[in-house]
Amino acid sequence: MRARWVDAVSYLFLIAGSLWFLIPYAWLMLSSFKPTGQIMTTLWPSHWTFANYLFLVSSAVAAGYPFLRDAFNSVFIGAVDTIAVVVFGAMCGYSLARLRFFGKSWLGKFVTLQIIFPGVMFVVPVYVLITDMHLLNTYGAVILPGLMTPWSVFLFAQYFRGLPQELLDAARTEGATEWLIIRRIVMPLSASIFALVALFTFTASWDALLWPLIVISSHHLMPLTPAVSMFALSEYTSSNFIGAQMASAVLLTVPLLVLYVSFRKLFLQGINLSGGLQI
Amino acid sequence: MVSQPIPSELTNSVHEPKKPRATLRERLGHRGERRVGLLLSLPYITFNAIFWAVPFFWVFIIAFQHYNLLSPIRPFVGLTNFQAVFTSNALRYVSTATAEFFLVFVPVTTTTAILLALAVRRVRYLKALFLALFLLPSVSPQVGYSLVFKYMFAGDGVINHVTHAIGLPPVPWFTDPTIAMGSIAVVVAWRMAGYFALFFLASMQSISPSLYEAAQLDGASRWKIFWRVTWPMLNAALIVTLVLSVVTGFSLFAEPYLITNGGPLNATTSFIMILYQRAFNFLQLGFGAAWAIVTAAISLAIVTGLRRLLAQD
Repeated sequence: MRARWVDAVSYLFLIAGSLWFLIPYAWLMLSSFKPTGQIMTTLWPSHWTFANYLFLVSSAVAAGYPFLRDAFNSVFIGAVDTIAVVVFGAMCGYSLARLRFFGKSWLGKFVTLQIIFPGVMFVVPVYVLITDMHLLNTYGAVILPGLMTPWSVFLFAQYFRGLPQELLDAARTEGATEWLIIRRIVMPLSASIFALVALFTFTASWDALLWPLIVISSHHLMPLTPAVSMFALSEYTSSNFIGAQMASAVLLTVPLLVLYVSFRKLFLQGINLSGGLQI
Repeated sequence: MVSQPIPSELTNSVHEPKKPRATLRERLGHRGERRVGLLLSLPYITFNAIFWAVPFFWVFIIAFQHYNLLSPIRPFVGLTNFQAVFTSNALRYVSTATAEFFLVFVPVTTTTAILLALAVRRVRYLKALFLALFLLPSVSPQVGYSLVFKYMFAGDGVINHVTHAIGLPPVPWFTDPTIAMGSIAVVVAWRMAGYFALFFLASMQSISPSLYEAAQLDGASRWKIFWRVTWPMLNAALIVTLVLSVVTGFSLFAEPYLITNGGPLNATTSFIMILYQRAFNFLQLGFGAAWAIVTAAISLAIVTGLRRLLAQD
């Protein structure tokens, strides 16, 4: 019993939803190539211009907004945090899932507790900590607090728990050391979870606004996200510079879009891990 | 907040379910295992002792101090900061604004997400494309789309031009204090609705097809099948998305910061915005710490209540 009209309504609704999701991107891209006067009034640019992008790499830099440098900062900070989160998260997750040691159940409870408590509580004391470490306005201030995250431990532990125990036991009976088991059996079986945690960590780091805004004041050390937001709220907030703001928003948005489009299966799998979604 | 795969922590816990008590040897493992286990988790434990456990207690100490960044003297002042939080105008208008946010955000995301999930479950073609589009906004940088919506929905923006063309009056989306927070909620709903849909879809996929076949054999209507078969199974997904909504509402920052900067008349000021203003613009860290504790307590209380509901199922 397949009613045609239900199919039709479903497609219509999905297409409407997709347009709702896509129109802001289309508007953003088009606006960044429009002469500024046309952004608020015209849908399609009467002629295409690179002026907004040229402004970003020339006048904006001269005015103290080095966007390309900030993009590099974002990549650098994101890369360091991602590598650390993956390495230390996998280590701790593996020990929680697969090894027996003193204090293990406490550690598990600790990680759960960390996930439960909201991040808002930690902003002020970590700021004081970073200040006391004399790290304010350095890369370290942004990188350090993000080096290890509880949810990465949680995801790794959940994944490693699903590996077949017989495999590890067989290797142990053969006399393999724990290190050999990790390197030769566990790691090759777990490429997808490593990629997944890496993707989500990098995305979160790229998107962070509040924390870098608080601890970085130098425009040369700032990641792209706070830089774009400061630019948009600065003296360039007036309608003469909307085009430049849109170009900076493109610079901020496109890298994550490319990452998402390239790895969309993995991103969807991330939801799958917790919800049991069949794609 | 980028949509991380967090929700599972709401239904599972990191430690394993209770088993019959093992012998000491079994619990402690082989010698090699013990050593490696501790070695592997030691960096995490050390790091989080410094960057999680210490701040966790420190925030309570700061909240009881008169802690101004400009002054080296930080006397303990008892409950003064909490008194200031509870008697501040800010708590009143931020609570109102946050309630308004939920009032719009929860119905909009829930309805859209369930409808999207029902529709995508039904279709045969382009399924992968639709699913990919669902998650797209939630991995998109917040600052980027906030600027887009700021100008699209501006008084003289493209949306009002379009509505004007079909004869409707312009709507002051972000400048009328009565609807500004609703508009912000719709922007955030744009980000989260597709993400939420994936949770509902996962729940729907877990329903056995035989249930639907039986209902159809009994001659139940589509409407009845949805409410009697599908809807009861969406409970878990509903609570997970509600918890995520609460987390979103209490960590709201980028959208109001960029689009309205908390205005007009503080109508879109969020809890985090007050923390940012008081602690880092006015440098009142003591007030900021107390404010953060109150914020965390409120959101934790709501989330715990919702998780109780889930546990009852």
